Amino acid sequence: MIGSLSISERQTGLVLAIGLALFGLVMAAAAKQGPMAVHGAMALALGVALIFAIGGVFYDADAPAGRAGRYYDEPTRFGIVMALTWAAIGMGVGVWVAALLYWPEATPLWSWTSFGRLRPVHTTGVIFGFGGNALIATSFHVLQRTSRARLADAVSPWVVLIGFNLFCAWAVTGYLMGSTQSKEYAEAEWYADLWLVVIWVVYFAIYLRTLARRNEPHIYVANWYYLAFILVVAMLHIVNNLALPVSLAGAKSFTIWAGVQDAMVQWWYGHNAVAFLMTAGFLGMLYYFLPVRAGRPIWSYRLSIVSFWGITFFYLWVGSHHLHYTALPHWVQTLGMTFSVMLLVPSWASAGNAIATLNGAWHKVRDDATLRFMFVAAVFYGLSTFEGSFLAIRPVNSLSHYTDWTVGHVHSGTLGWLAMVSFGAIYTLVPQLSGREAMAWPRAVEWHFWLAVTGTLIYVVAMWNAGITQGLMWRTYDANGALAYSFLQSVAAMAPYYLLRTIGGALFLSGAILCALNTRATLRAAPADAAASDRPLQPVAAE
Amino acid sequence: MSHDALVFIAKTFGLIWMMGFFLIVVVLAYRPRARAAQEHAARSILLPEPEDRA
Repeated sequence: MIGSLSISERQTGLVLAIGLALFGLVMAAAAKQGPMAVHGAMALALGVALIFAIGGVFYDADAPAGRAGRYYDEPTRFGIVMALTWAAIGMGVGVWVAALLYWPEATPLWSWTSFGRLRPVHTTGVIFGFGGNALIATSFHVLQRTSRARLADAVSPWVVLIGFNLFCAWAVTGYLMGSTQSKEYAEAEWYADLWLVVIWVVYFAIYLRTLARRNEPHIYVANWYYLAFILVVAMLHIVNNLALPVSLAGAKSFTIWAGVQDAMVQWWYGHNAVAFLMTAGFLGMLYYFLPVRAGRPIWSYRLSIVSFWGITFFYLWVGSHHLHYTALPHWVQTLGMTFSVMLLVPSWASAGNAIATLNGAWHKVRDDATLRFMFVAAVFYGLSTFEGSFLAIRPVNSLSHYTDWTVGHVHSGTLGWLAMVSFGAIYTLVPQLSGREAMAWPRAVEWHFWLAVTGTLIYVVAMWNAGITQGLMWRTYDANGALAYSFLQSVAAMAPYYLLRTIGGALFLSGAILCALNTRATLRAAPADAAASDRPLQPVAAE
Repeated sequence: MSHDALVFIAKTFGLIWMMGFFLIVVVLAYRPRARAAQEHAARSILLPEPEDRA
């Protein structure tokens, strides 16, 4: 993977690796103790490892001459491997904390194994580790294929991928050590946040530079979604994470937002993380891989443009629906609710567009588990966006909020839609990158599909039941006007649902592990010089 | 800014902004002249049929 870099790129890489090692050393030395010192040591170790990796091939022959005439797929391959590694970690921790809710007495005595520290390891592991890596990996592929151009340079994709994974590793190890900003999906502390800003700017730059070199006149709609993901995530991340560190040599910081403004900024971030990290980028994936796998163009390209602007316009306003019945002004809550309901229109336009694309290709959906993953993803996208708009309505929210219905809703989106479309994209990509027709174990794809669908359904149905039961128990009054149930009774009533949730999650996790093993077998079975057979267009000057 | 002023802006400029934005997007997406380019874009990601390949 480093061998295909040119000599000058290896020099740049070596300088960056030395820089990373020095940066880690300074960070660890300044902090002396605590999470920041550990994180400095991690950066130092990574920097040293990269120095050795680059140094080992530093004097090898220069990059092959025909390199410019090929797509650059090594970063995509690495991103897929990292995505699946994080999927196993994030989903594994998810199943573990789900089991802890059923068997709380099984919690070990070490503080780092407590539920409160492990839960953000699950969310960051799956959202950023699995989802983020899958998005970055597929975006590099889609960007190059739709532009018919090679990535603009060979070093920055590695800066993005390695830097992003260092951020994820800092975040989850920080939580285990008890370091957190206490902001949902933005728990990582200030220095990790600043690091991610740098990485994200490099990502945005490589994306735009490659688009600028495109050999296709029109920018295919999937790129719009990926760009919305990159741009808006940067905006959200910066605003929500504005904080003052207690000291430059320590992990702890305090957000600059106070009181209800803090809550509003946090949920503006939180829901738009759902919108732009967890919807826009994955829609980019869907709009590329579904037509490619089905062998049919998207049903209505025009509708995809209208729904793009609808989604980007409406989503930015909906965050306040997380704060119904709080100190947030009533009209702001109503604004969030109204936009959430309107959001159903572009969401269903996208889901319907994807499903209508398959019209006439149902035999392929029946026979091809990979395409079936993407079909199920589109169906769950439609279901969970309907549910989301519904839950945002204030009186509905009075029943659902703070219950497991929310957890069920989130997982119908993440398991049923995001993970399914990612698996569909991975099963399309991995054989192509290995120069093969199919995965090494085609039957395992079928097994994975059914494990994933069964796991999702068990999980989501269990959480719907759990949430509605909780909501109703909390609002049932007896003849004297007193609450009919104690809070503890509502907790005890959850036991069967929490057990079912653990089983559903475990099924989904086993499918994901099967996918990781299948991917490993496919990549390993590929010949050393395996590469995708398609080529970028080589513009030739007119005579 | 008072609450009333904010409500006034939301009900006038806000509404025009949203509907105007919607109209611009629909006109841009559905103008007949863009049809060929969009059709080309939609098909550009698909591999050519075996008989079409050079």
